[in-house]
Amino acid sequence: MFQGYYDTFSGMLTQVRNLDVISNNIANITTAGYKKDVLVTSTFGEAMVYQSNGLSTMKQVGSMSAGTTIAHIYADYDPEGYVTTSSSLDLAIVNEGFFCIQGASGTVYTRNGSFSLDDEGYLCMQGMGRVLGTNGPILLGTDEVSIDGDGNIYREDNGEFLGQLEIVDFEDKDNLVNPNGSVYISDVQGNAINARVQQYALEQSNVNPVDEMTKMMSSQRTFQSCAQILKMYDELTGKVVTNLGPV
Amino acid sequence: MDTSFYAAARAAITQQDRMAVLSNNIANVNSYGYKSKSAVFQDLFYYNIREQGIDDSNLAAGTGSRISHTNTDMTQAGVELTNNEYDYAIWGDGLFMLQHPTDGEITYTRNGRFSLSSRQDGFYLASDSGCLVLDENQQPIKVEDGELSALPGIFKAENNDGIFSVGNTEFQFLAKNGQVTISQDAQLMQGYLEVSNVDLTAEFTGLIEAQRAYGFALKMVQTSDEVEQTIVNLR
Repeated sequence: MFQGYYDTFSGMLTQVRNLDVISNNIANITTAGYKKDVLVTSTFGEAMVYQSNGLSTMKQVGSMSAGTTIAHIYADYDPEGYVTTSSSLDLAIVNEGFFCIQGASGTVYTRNGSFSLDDEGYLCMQGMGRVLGTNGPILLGTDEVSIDGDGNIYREDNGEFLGQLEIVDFEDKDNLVNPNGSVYISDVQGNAINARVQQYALEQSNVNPVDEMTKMMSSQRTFQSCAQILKMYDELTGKVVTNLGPV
Repeated sequence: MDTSFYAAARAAITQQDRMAVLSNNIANVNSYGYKSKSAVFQDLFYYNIREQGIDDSNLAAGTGSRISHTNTDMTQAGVELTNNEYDYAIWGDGLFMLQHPTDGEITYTRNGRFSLSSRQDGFYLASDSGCLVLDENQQPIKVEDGELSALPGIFKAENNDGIFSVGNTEFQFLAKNGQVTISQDAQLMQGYLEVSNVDLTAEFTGLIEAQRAYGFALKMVQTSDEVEQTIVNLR
């Protein structure tokens, strides 16, 4: 059948997937430390088109693409502003870097510093695992702690040193995989960095409402345009079937 | 159907849950000893957008957000002078220990509005919820001719993280809160009550944010619906 029929179909499929990504960004507009996902589309199977004149010579007409597809989805790691909180275990990383969490199957990384204490008094991320310090998990036992800019944790009453937060960064953040719950996993080891930590603060989600809304509208309209053209092709096919039949 | 539809619907539910937390704070703006709560968000599972079962980091799409837990803000609020002889406020860290008269269950509160409760062998100091107030030795406080046998004790755990709210502005400590001991640095103030620590400005800011995010998520639901409609109208 017509090539364009399948091209518009691939356009519709891609836009639906784009809306899936936008929808998740909107859902996480208030999730601390969330980094928005951006979907990148690309042409699919670009090919040269030649005109055959029945002889051995072929005339080049131009190139044609067979529709569109998703190239990849990347997370936008742009740092975002901070919101102050009243919990002493709410932490934000001021510049680049990730907190290290002792997950069920290896270390996971996060920018969501909304921590609490687990049953044994270790600093933990709810549902994920213990927060790692430079010497392994950090035993606090109390939430009356003060945390300085370098991530050193001290007891508030007697100033006892409890541990230092381990903060790492990655040269190539494209290798980070996001399985669930604001955390990332990585095959490569992160490099320890001297990041600045802010206590009583959480990094806001870097989803921009205007941006997502605009993308949502344009994606929807692209989808509808594709559907319209698909309909035209359908009508065209209908005409071929009904009008070309009786010669 | 579309993941976008469900992710957005999930977002609307999450914002609604958050509004429930905020409205409960606002409802308790005049509850003595009330400690405000805040909701903490987390994103949900990610899946490969093109094919199932392939772990390609560059093709992961998410499925929405949820509230992972709520934090209780135990910071000190202001005190109000009532001049009532059985009203107490705590200045500093700590809580009053209460004991249920029949099943003996221990709860803790910052609400020091106490009154007298008549028992078999006289009057005892009790909370509004009918629980006995305990002294530093964890014994009920007997009142004779307006004289208390002992002052209400102030207790604290090693931490307040994840403290369990049981209602009536009463709390229970969990195992992870550690040993409960007498709070040394807290001061007992007679004739005062601690007001609610709800900050209305923060609550309303949060409410506006939640409302907008809610409307925003619903717009996404609507868009997904229109996409479905376009598909249906293809023929």
